[in-house]
Amino acid sequence: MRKAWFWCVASLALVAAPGAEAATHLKYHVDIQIRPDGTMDHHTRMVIRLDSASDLEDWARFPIYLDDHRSLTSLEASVVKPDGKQITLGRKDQDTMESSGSGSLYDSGRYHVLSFRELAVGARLVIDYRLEIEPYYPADAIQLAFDQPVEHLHVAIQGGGAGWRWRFDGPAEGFDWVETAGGVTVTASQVPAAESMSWAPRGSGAGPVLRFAWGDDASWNGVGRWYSDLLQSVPRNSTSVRGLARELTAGVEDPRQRLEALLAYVRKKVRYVAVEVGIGGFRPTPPEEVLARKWGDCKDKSLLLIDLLLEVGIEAHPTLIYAGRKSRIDEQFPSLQFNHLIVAVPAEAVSHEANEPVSDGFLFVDPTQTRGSARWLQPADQDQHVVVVHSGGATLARTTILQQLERRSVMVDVAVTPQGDAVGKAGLQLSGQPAAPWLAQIESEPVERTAEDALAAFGSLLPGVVVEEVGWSSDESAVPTVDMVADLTYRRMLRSGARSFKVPSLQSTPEPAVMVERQVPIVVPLGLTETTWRIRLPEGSCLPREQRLDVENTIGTFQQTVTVEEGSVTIYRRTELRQRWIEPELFPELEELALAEHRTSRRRVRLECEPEEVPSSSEETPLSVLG
Amino acid sequence: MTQFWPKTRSSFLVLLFALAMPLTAMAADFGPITAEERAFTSVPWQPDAPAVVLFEKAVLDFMDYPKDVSSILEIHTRIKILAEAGKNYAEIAIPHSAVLRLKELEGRTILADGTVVPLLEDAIFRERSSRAKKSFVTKAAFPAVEVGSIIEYRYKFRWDDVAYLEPWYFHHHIPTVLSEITYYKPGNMALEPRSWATGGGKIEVETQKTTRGLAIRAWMQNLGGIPEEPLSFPFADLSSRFMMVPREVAFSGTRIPLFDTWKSACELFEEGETGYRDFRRASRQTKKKAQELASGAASQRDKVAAVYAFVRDEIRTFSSQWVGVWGTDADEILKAGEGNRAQKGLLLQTMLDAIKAKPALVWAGDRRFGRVDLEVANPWWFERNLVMVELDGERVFLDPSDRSLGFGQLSPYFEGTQAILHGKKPEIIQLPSTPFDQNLRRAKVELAIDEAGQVHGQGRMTLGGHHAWQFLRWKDDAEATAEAWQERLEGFFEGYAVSAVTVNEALDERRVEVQWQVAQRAADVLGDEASLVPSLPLGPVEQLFSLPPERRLTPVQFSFADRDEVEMTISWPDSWEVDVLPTVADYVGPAGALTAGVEVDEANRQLTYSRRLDITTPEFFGRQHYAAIRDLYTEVEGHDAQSLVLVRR
Repeated sequence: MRKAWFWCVASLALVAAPGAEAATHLKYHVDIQIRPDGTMDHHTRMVIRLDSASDLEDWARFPIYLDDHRSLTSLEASVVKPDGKQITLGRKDQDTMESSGSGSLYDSGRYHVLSFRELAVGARLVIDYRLEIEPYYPADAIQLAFDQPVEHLHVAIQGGGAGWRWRFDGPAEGFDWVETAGGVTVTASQVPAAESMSWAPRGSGAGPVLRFAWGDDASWNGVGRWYSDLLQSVPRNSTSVRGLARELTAGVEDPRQRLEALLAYVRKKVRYVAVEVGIGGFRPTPPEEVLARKWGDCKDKSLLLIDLLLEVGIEAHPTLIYAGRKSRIDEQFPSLQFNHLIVAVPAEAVSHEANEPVSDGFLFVDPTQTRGSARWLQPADQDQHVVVVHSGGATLARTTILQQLERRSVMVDVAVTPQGDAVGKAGLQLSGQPAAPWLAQIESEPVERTAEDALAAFGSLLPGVVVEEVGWSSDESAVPTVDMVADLTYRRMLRSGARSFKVPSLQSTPEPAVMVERQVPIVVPLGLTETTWRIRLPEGSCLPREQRLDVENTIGTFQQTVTVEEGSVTIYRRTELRQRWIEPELFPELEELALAEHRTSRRRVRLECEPEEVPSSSEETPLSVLG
Repeated sequence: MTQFWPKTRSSFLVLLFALAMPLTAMAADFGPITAEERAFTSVPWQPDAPAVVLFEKAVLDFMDYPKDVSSILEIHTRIKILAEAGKNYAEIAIPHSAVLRLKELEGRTILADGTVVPLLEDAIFRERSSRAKKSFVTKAAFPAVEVGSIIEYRYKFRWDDVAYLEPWYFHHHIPTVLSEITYYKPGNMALEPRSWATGGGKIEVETQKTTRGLAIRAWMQNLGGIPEEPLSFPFADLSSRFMMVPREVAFSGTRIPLFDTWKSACELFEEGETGYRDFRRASRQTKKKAQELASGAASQRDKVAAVYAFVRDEIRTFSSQWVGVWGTDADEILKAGEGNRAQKGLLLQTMLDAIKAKPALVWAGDRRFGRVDLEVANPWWFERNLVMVELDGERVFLDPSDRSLGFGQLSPYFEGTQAILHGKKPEIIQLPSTPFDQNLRRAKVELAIDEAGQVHGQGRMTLGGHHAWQFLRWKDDAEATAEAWQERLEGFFEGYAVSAVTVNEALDERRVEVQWQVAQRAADVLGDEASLVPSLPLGPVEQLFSLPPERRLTPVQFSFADRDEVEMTISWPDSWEVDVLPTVADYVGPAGALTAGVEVDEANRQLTYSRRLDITTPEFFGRQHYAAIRDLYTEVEGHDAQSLVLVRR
């Protein structure tokens, strides 16, 4: 599936060069004329001033994205040097480069690249070009966040005609707009450069963005019908596909088991290879072909799975989704904002249990996942608005959040020697997305490499602890899981005279400082982190006080317990995040969790003795106490 | 996806261009699959390998002018998929161009039951990397691949030249049963074999007279895969390789030296289309500019420095990975205000020549691409044109393609490597190195705890040598530099706000000084306890070498050896006391040393922690030396993990 963000970027008329933060757009004008036949004349004019030495390198090459449906119809570009001399770009200053997008083996995208000469600080690049666009779907979007400041911005769209609609999504401060019949004009002055922030949304959902569409059907139903019409041209229900479905489910009566068998086949036997040429970025390859060559992308695998399921009597629907842990679509603006295709099976058609990806009446499965069963939906697909396409229209649904399945747990079980070293075992249990890359590694890398990475993982979680002899087991029958165990020596954990010790633990919330004076949403990884330390202290040792801390709010929970039993101390910390996209109005709740998690992690565990139990202070006494 | 060829440096001498012929994906006789190949389910010497190269065979026919118009290299590869992860080898990508033309790509998948599924045209994709440069990448996705399948493909390269200066690499990242190359030597060419065997392996070579000419075959069998281990040497150093060096060729009775000696190699670059002489010939404006730049300088050193600074800073640098210059000249580069690294080196040489500095061009190889063997006069070993001048009796090396390098400085990727002083009498030289203790990071942090338990203070850090190089001219201006350092420091000092950052950069002294204020954020103040990481901002160091020595397969290479020094001073109020102090460290080993200690002044309620970490050499060969660097990191990690804790009484 073509990445929707890519389409948006293509409409941007500006592909920011990496690190090009110092330059200034003196002018950024886009005029779009939507013609009655649905094609667009897309006219971009930019003037960029180079403000620093690094701009000379960053702006030496300027790419204009083209594709089968996007062609360049006119171009004028020049450099105006600081002394006023103008150098116009000629043919030898232009090149065409094809470069497949990330995740694609091959696609029809290409760049018309301008090379600017004789650049100097203070020079201006003047770029004026027109594109002829034949959109596959009557909609588009223009990103209005830039890596550079923009002194004068003007985006005007006309000719929308019947069904014209638009929406400004994201922070609107500083932007003005005037709506016209079948159009809109957005202007702004002195737009600051977009700030790069940690924990921020990416791609779709990272605003501000101007979305626009036209045509008869301004609904998700209309989007579904468009995609459904596209599928009409794809040959379906071939003999080979139907035969395979029967073969794979022979003797299997239960629909859920049938689903699992067919899903496992599509996931394991059809490898992921994305080739997207023109409309082929949206239209799947016929399932018969996908089956014969045993490779395909998300839409190829999804349609093959659907045809297999239909043969064995299980209803299934193609489902448009924007897959991205830090992204989401604008559900208030029906348009083609998607980059991925998965499959929705009506929930009543197959059995299912709690904590499965069932929501809005559907069980959602992603055939491009290579791990787990239908029980697990990867986090990039969770908590997303989706369009389930069926004959006659579509249903807007939302995939569920399954944070309980996304788990990282560290367990440390040690005994402290009289010399103060802690010796024992450490365990790391991962499930869901945290486990998936480990499963891939175990499958593909030499044992030595996996061992090294496992030791490094323990080392990173438990700094200063010597970890050796690591072993692991894995399971991906339902939810991917990996269990690692290692021998552990924590040198000087409780040195002579020490009255406290440090207990490193997993963290999943951002530092509280991230939320200070912030207006941009925070996106956190869904899931559960747990850290358990069980420490057997030498006989006669002072012990910490038992305590419990619980914090719970709409974002999630944090819990710490310290329990003491027969000379053993157990410290348990648990953070659960139930919401991934956190708007500024919920920052106080996120901060509450973050403070609890970070403070307990920083605070040492203090040993306390009764006053009459204070031992004499001596070098032979391994542990001293608070008096 | 696997890019199977070429593996590292590109080394084709460009003499002529030609149009690429269309690709074909015809059925072809690939030869039978043997019973042994069918039976292969795991590699005995590397059982967990996901795939194995059953064979990779190459045949190189050198152009026998005028009978032939092209040299041809044919490569035939057969790979068996042994596990799911092996399917990663089922897509291939082959770079080629109008000069190095790809022909006759054919392929097939053989299923475990013997069924053959051909690689069809619609699964082969040609991507144009650059229309102007006529460069392409052809990609293919093999059909019906499953565990137990064999994928097989072959293709040819054609180029209109006699020379081929790329070694044949026998190893891959997966095991290889057989890798071989056969060279057919034309009668009018003198070729010399060169081989480099690694890991104790043996390269077999045999020579045979055939109807096609003298055939020289080199092969290796049963090779392990080269693992990708952290901080390892580049693939080119780890793989065994073989090449036939074209020493000379005869045309119509005339003997033409090619890469016989460095002298002939240098001459070739002076005269041919890589034309150093042509580059320098059109240089009137260039020379005038040089004289203009030098006119204000008093000493010869200052003149050279002024010209060097101009080329380094005012001529924009484009990336390039070889030392040839393509059909351009000095004045063109000067006018355009940009050039690749090779062009900039030559431009600098031309300009320094104009001010009578007697510059010499130096061919230098980037160690990240592998070591150079200067017994083979192969200019494609090198990535960069440096310039050497003698000033005050000392050789000074200049690299104008890196804005972060001051006068007479080299990046760590070239320091200490062997290089060629280009000229009529080329000379093998060793580029100078910076002693490890000059690659310095020195930090001093002064903190105080107030009555409320908040920690605040200031810090100062000095970077020298290559540590400074990494950050000199990091950002465009003082404000952006300070902002970037603030962000970087806040990354080190978690829970603290960093402010008032000032940065001073001294390019020619290779020094960066950063100063800052730091204050613990209110949300992170515990009130009755303050835990500090005393090695900040240079630590805490994490173990980079988790693998025990007996499991590590490749040697270790750092960018450079260095020294870290950190000193942290803390003072506290009367209501507070020291709870935990880090232990003393005094470790000296073959890889370096760690020393650390704390001095407590109870009367003034102040303590000073100091730590020095030396890594005295950048390279570690063999298990023993790997163990040494691992042990050093174990010591440092254990030490740095300790906290310095103060508590309220």
